Amino acid sequence: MAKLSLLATLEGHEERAWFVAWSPDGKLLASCSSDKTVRIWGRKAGGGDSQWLCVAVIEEGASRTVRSCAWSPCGKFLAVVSFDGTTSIWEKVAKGVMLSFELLASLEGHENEVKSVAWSTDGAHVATCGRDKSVWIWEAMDDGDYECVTVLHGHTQDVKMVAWHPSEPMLFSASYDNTIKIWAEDGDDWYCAETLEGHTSSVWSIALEGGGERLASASDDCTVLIWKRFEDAQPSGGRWRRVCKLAGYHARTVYSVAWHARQPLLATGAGDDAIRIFRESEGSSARSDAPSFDLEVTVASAHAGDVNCVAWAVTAAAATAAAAAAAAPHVLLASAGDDCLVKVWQYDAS
Amino acid sequence: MASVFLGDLDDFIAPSQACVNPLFAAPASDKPAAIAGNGADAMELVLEDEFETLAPQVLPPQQQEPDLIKTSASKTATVSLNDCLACSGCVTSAETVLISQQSSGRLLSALRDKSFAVSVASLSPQSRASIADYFGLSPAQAQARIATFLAQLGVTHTIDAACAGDLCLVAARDEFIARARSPLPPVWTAPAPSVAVSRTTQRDAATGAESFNAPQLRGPLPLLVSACPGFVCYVEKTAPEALAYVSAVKSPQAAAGALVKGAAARAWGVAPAAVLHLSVQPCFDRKLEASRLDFVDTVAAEATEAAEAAAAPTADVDIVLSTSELLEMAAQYFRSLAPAPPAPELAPGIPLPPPTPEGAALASADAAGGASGGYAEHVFRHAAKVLHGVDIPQGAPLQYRQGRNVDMRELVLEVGGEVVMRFALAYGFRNIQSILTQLRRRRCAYQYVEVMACPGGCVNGGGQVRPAQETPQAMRERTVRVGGIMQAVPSLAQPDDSPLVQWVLGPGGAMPLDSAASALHTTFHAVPKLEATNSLLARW
Repeated sequence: MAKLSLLATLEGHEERAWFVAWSPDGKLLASCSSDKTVRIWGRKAGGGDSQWLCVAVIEEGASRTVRSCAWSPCGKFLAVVSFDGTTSIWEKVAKGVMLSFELLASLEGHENEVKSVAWSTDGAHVATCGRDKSVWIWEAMDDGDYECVTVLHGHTQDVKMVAWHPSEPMLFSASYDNTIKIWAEDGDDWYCAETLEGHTSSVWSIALEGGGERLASASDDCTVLIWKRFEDAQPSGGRWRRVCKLAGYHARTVYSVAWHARQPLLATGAGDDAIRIFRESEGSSARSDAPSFDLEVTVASAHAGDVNCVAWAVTAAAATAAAAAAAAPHVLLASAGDDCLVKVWQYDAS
Repeated sequence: MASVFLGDLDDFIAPSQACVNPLFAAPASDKPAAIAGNGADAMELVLEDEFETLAPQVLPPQQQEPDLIKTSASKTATVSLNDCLACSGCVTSAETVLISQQSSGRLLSALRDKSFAVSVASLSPQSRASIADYFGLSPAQAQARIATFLAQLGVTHTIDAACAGDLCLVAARDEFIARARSPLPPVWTAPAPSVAVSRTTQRDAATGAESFNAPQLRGPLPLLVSACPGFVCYVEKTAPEALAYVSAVKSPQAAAGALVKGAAARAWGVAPAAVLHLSVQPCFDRKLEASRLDFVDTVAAEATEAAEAAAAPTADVDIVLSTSELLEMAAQYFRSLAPAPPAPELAPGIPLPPPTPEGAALASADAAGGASGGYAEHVFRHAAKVLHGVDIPQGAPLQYRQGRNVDMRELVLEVGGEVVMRFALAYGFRNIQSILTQLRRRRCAYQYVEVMACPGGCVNGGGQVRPAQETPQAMRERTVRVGGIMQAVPSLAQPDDSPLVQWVLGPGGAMPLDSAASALHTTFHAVPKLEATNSLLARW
């Protein structure tokens, strides 16, 4: 039997924890909260994966809830977005065993709450979205500053989350208007290449599969949908089609979905306080036109309140990590909840 | 104050986010009561448009959107257009629906009722070019056909709004020269929030004190062109710190309004209120602009009974139709290529460009100078000569350098190997953001920026004729094509060469210079900002 075991409960946030993000090397975990701070957590020496320390707190900067954050692919920078309308870029500086974060740039432009931020795989672009229904793409300049590349209008409501394609210049956005939009580059500007319709309520979270051929989306309609890119375009020009629906598992809104980068695993966090792990069925894969997923694990009261975010830990050193995973097939998952807590879990396959 | 749940929107709009206006505007409310209770959980805002019911059957109702404000919200309505302009929050449904107050139906009913002695249409060169492109006509043919069509509806005069644009260019270049000679130090501070009461009066939002609605002529560099209503609306609501940089010169539409309801009405011997002014524009946001109280005389509202009829409350522009709305009305007519009836005669002595016979010249500096009025082009040439003694021959095209993208271009003047002047054309929201960021950080290298909210500029305005589905590539091609048609008119070396400009501003002109100054300048306001603190929003 596969299982998800609690390794550590990280206490420190004073209000609901919204989001967790693993650093690219898997060594650090950043968490954000309504208490206007970002906490950075690291493993205690000799404590393995079960003893964690808060190694830094970003306290200044946000005057309202910090809703989300994202590490740059190089791991040196952290982008932080807040309900106060700002996006700030922080640089990680080592200070002995502790870390400190220095404000590098402030990206102003959103009219109000910024909800999500994502760093493109090449590190050149940062995407943000928010309550003003817009999606912004920023480009890193040589002087450490950021310039607005484009402002994308198209969603008719609040935009909840943005996610980059892992290898192509393609951005996904999920909205309160029940749709997911795919933005692509054309010459020197961006445009909406596709709109994915299928959810019947807010889309809260989206996650690309490691290879970039499939997308998972989590919604207020209590389902998770799997979308796949097809070679042939539909009459509408669209290439992404829904190929699977995970329904009947979640009793409340699904707030978060995470696709493991290398294993056929989906994790979800929901308003029913539970974390669930789905494994792609035997024989099903990114090549399947009708893939299927099996519910493997349900942790019923993972948090004492909504589970706002789940995130798989990924280590950048692929070769050794894959070898290590083959030897000891357990992986780490972090979660953030309305109970102000951040938790670290260990997943073990059967 | 209860929060307002808008019927078809699945979004809560806190009072601070939307419709703040009823809270502070509407002194002795002459507006229809806007908010009607409709059950405990929902309040519906009701729009009553007296003209809507009169709209002829042939015109299907149209969903219209302001260009800058993207929303699909449908049947929700509140208060009036200028209420929306004064609100800092709502960039949502209200403006969308309210725009329908300026409809072709309203135009037709006004013309049918003959409630105006004179009716004038000012046709923007962008609209003309868009229609010319659609039917494969020359600009002059399109101008003539549109004039003839409108004449059949009862519009007595159709004028070329590019000529009003030439007035703006004269005002814009003088403003730049004055500012370049004695600029104020750079600032990033919002002025005290205020709302317009009328052309002459504004009210402080905090104290309620009324004061003269004075155009702000002095300020720091760069000077930002204020002709784009989308940009103006954005700055007033979202970035009022930049207002000090914004030009006080009216847009060509507003200048046409001042001309038609001012000097021209006087020359025709009719009261401004007896003139119906229709404006055909490439842009839905022009409808919002036309509703600004800064362009309305309300002073003599009580005195209308008396001999003061000439001063009856009147807006400079009564109805704005987009190019696509005009096309929808006239498509049938244009296709039939019916022979034009004799053009109506203008009152003698007013060199408003007459209803142009096909093939006649539509000379202007405005239309020939670029996609959006030729501001940078003309002011650069003028300033090079006046400030730096560099005479750029009329035949020599300016060298535009492309910046980060096709919508960011620069004009640089070098004297003795040194850059003495740097202008920019910044089109589209992304480049507006770049300019605002530069201003915020006091790092702007430009002295003058022609700012337009639409990518590609006004020729690509949201109200232009465009296919329902259009790839970005096709859009760029159309923009280039329509821009080419628009500029395929004789250029005036100087806007002063325009007979209209001479009539208005020249010696013994219809608007003596001091009054012309006020007729061609306006005021912008920092819209009162209210923080969104509704607890219902906190969850998100």
